[in-house]
Amino acid sequence: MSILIYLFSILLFLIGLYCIVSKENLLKIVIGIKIMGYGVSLFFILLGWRRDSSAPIIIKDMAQNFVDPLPQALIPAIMVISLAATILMLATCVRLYEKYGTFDISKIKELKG
Amino acid sequence: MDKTIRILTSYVIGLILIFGFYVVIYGHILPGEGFDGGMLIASAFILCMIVYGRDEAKKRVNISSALVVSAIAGLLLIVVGFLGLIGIRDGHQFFLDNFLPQGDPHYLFSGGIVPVLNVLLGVLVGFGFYALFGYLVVWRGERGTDAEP
Amino acid sequence: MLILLFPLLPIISALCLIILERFDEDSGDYLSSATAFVLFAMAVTIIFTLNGGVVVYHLGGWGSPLGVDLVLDGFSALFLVVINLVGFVSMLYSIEYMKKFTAKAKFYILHLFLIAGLNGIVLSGDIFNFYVFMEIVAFASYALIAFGVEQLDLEASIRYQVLGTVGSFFVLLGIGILYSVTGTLDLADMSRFISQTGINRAILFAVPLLLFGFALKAALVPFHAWLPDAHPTAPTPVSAMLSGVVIKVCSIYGIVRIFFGVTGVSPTLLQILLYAGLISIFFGAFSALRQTDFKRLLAYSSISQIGYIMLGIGTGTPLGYAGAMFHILNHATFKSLFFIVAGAVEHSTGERNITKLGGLSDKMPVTFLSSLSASFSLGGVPPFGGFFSKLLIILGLFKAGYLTVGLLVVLSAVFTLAYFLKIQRNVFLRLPTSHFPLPTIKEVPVLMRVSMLILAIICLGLGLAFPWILKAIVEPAVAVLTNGCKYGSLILGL
Repeated sequence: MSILIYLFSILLFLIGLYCIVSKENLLKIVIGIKIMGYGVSLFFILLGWRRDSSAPIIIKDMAQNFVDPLPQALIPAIMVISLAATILMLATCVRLYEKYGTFDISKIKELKG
Repeated sequence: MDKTIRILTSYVIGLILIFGFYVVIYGHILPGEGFDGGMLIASAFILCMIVYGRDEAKKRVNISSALVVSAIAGLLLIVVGFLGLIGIRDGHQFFLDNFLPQGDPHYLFSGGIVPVLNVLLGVLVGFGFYALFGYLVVWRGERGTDAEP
Repeated sequence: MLILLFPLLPIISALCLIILERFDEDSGDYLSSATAFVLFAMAVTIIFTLNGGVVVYHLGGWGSPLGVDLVLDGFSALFLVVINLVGFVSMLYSIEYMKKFTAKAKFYILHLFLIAGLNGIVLSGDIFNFYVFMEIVAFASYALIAFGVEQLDLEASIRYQVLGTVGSFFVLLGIGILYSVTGTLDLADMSRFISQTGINRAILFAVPLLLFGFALKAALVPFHAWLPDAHPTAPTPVSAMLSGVVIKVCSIYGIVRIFFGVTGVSPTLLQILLYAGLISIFFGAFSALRQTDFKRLLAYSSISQIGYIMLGIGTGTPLGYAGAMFHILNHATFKSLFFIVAGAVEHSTGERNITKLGGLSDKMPVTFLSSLSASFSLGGVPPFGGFFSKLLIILGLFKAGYLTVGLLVVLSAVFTLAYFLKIQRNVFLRLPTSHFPLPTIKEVPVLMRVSMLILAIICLGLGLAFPWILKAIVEPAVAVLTNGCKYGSLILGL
């Protein structure tokens, strides 16, 4: 049972990757990148799970087992990085729409790659 | 925007701002720290800009001065780090040293310089993301379309 | 304590510049060049005083597995010299070059963040810090590529952004799996843990994920699609930084630290790097022969030279490692110099198509001499530096037993010679075509000439001073590679 939930977070990552690879609209590619970011964050949070433990907040005079707080502390950094990547991409998309008139990546092909 | 949304937002926006400050200030006792609280403060400003329009939000918080405030908060963060380097606490001379008095745990005034760093980080992240969003929104396109909802 | 300033000083300058640009429009020039010069001077001082030792700085005074460390050893010192040298020269060059653009102060802010992020990558002792600095470098380069906001710049930038973000997420997934196996984020602690408990199957799953992410950043051959678009359309100082430094720091430093230092490298991994490098060399050289755009030719040449470095790392012998390390230093100098020469030609003539240029050798003498220096180092002509690094890589290949691969690499030197002779003939040496306004062309301004001369002299100096550089810079770097998994026990005591 416990491996299944990690596989679901990797499935979310793969859905985001499929969305980037197969969609033609640039905004859908941005949404795919966001979904990949959420998949990786979910995977990170699930890494810290311990059996029969509670949330890692120390309230006075209650000693318990806690889940690992370190991945939970990395998540705001990952979220901010994903957010900044999305902001940059959307800013570029807005200006691309003004120059090319379309969001379709099969028509934005001035450079020969 | 709609009249209903404007009225409802006017009730809620102050609460979001206060909750953001609460998360930042109590960051060393309760979950959430500078980053999370800063995002809440930024979302309060961004909500004001989305619902009431660009000019109302500019009257409250100017976008270019938000960027300068964010840069000043970043410089103060580095200055606090260097204060630890000088050696206010004897024997410990490191960058980002914990030189304020560390009181009893679970109280507000405890934990050394950690609350100070939380507040500075919250200001940096909050005003910085608001300035980023402001520059994204106020750009005027070539075809005369104003990029505002 | 001085190594703390390497990531911090450019960030302080960039934040001061955000405040200062309200008052004075031109204040960015001297502040950023002074910062870059101070960093370069500190990097050279570190080469003279380090002598193979390791410096560890604990931030905040916390002990080694608990807190964040900054670690400087011989491999990091090599990269520090490369980053700060190219950063300083490109800052000097951009004082004159950016007069064409309107938002000059924002260019300096982004460039300073790029240098800060690169310094932070090579000094971090923590795997998550490495990832955060890698993202800072990525964002600064996305914004810098799209700086002159034309059609082509935005298209090149969006291609780089999508591919670069996918690569970063794969690296992050690999980092997550490594954390779940070892329970710590510190590189030295991870290395000690893995060398004590042996290879786990989860680590074998994480290695291809990390390799895919790093290969996307390095533009190894199946994943190279963003590079020939992104490097030519960026402004010239940014092309020099990207092609000379960023594609090497983000990927090769990561491969050496994480694969050689932490997870342990198996012969299969070395063979993958070797063959991927071989394919990159030939693909880059063949594609470069067909190009007519000056900077696009140089971008394909970058793909080819990164193939040489991967080949050198893939041999598995200390000779091959030494060749790859020295080629990192050489490629940074001659490729940045070549991009700066291309930018100078474009600045004076307004033309980037080499079939339309010609006869510039007596009109622009400093540019011509610098391009000769870069071409000889690229082609591997003694006594310039490129000859020694290619010789070491080929000797390493023969010693490891890859005879056919070694002969193919010797053959590829002929192709390299072909495309740089093509540049020299078309741009500088032949008689110009009829509709080319030759009499109105003059030499580029003084600061651009100074930056070209600095790099040209260093290209020659790297070859002439080769025994000293081998002992002082390259051998401590090779020691990191051959020590391998003993990295952890070396660092943890300090």
